[in-house]
Amino acid sequence: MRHETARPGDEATQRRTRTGTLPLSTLLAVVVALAVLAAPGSMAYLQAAAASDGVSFESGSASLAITAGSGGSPKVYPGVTMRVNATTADIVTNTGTVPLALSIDVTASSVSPGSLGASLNFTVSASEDGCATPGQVLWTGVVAAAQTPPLLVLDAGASRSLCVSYQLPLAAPASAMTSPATSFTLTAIGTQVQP
Amino acid sequence: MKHITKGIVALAAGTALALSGAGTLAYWQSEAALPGVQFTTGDLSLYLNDERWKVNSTTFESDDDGLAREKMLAANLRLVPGSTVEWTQKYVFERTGDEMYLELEIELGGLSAHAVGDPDTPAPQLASAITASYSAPEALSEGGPTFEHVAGNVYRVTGAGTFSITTTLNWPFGDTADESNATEEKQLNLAASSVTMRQVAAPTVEPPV
Repeated sequence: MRHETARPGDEATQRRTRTGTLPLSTLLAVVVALAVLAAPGSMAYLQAAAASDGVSFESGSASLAITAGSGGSPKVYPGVTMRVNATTADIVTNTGTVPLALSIDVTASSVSPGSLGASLNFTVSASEDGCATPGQVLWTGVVAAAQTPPLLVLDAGASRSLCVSYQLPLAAPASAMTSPATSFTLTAIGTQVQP
Repeated sequence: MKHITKGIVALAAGTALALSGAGTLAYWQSEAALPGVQFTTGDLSLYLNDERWKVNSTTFESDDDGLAREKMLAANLRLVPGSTVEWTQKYVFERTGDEMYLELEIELGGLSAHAVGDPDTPAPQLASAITASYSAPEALSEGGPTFEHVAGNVYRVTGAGTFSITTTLNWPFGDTADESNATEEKQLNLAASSVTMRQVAAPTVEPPV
């Protein structure tokens, strides 16, 4: 068996040797790097791309218009049905760009128990040619019912005559007749229909 | 000293004798040439093809009457809450060579909005109300290309032909009424989009443990 003994000076000799070759290896690395950079295709990868043009859209609108009718609102008598604007019907028109579900919100200045506001029954119907002929009854209820459910769908640009009538039932309490004057407000609400 | 000198002389004489007989120390040799071989590099190309637009339930296809996009824009459809726009862009994918691992980079154009005819009046509510997403590539032609999802946006791709990517713009229908008009009658812009296919190294398969 051969035994090698480290001798003083060996390590120093090796260190000198490594130190001596370091500039050469660094130089080689630089040369290789420069060669790669100078020939970019040699380490490339394939790539393909396609671009498409942009595009623009416009958003629509939801808009409802009411042309008020005429004829006012006659006085109330028990058991008698009266019509709002009996001379010329209110016309509701969808002036937006999206179909609208039409509902009616009826409010009264007073709806205390036994009052006129709490006793009056309303009927809402719609027709395409005024209210002279009975239109399709869409809803019947009292003010307390507040906003009606969707009554009909009005396409963009479409119009309907809105026919609203009211009646004080014969069974209404006497206090309803002696109530102070009550104002009613009917609001047409158009809600966008989901496409 | 004399004996040593004689010995060297005798050895030199023997060597000279061996060199003079030339064939006696030869070796045999034979060779056969291998034929050369040629390789051809593969290629990768991507081209835009037809597109199809679907706005809500109305579909526009390219045909003899015109391009799908032109017909869609001519229809002047308006987006409203609940609207969905599906844009299916078809691509022709040409590729030669063995299977490739491709990184699919889809840069969807950004969304912006402003008042109609007034680019200086932005409508950020509209742009933020709409979400944009895109599908994985779908082969349309027989024989591929097939896209086998590997990881991330990397696919193992074989074959070539036509494929499509569908971009969807969705304006969710909410559950509360918006009466602010902040999104009504505005212009929504989808900027140019691009698809890049970049070759990547085949993934390393981990040995089973």
